[in-house]
Amino acid sequence: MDFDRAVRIATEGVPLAGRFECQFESVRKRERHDNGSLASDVFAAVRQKFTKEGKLSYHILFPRCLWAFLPGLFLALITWGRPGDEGRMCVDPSTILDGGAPNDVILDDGAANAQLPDTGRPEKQGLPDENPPVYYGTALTRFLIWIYNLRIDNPVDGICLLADNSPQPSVASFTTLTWRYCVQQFFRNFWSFRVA
Amino acid sequence: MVGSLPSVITIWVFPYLSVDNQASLQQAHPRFHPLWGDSRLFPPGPGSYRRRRFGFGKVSPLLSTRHTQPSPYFIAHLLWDWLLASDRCVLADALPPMRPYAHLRVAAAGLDLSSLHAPRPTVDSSPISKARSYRMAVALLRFNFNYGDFIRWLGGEYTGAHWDWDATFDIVDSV
Repeated sequence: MDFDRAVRIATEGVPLAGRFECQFESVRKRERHDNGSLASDVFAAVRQKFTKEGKLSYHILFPRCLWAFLPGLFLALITWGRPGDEGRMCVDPSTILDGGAPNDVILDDGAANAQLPDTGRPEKQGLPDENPPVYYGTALTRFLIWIYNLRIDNPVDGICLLADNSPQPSVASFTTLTWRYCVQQFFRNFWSFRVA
Repeated sequence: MVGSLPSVITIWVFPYLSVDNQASLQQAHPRFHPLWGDSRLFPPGPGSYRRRRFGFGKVSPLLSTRHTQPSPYFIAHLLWDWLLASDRCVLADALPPMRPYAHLRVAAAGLDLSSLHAPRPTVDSSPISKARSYRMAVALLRFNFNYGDFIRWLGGEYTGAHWDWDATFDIVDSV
């Protein structure tokens, strides 16, 4: 185990390396965009979601006017999807805005994800501190093995497991799977066991 | 400027005056306006330089974020202390974000930030606390919008320092 790396992650946070650079005009454009893709009927739901997310220490809410003063700020758009009944808010650092007005020649380089090195491309590999490989192909398998071993070590204890407890790579890659009945049943069994 | 009026002190005192006293002050010094007065701001806590080098939240030299051109508003913030009151007023008219900024500076002169170090309030269905977010903004302003220093000052769960890392590593080591 790489303890030095673990200590760095604990004290410095992640990612351990990265150079993020954009035009201030991109930030201004995104602020003016004002999450324009959001339908007005979901505003209340988004606000409610933000209220709920207040339990997370890394959600720090500021007055809006501060966007103009923070050096190095990247603004992520807010999107709202409806994978289930309750809807899902996504702070989206990937979407790139269009040019907007016909004379608008400012290219939007304010999407933070666009500046992450792509681990899937050979020429961008070798930068694990900036974007560590997560081995999507085996993420779900490893997660299920971990749960299986947890059951072996704790044969009679209840295990509370929800879909959100699965590791982010598996959620990101296998969202469709986790919402399918056959796999959903797998997760739900753990939950049922605890209730029983 | 406001003539012989020690505006630095006045701004600090102004929020604590009664409404009548505030009106009297405005009558005595018509050119004084708390929004455009001198307000000297200082970080709310010492030790920023040490926190950058050691412990939780320390600066990572390999990680940075920047704009290719600086924000004009941030430059205006840096210039604010050297501007005349009349110039500040003109600047606020020319750059809209500078007006709420001026209000923020006035609040920073008298707002107590100790509550930000207290345990966070329990999240329930009540609305988002505007007072708390405004205090966060004031703290950030007093750190010259240096977000890293601001987070390091908050410390605790904001930097991951609240976990028992020794016990965690002991467990990992025993596996």
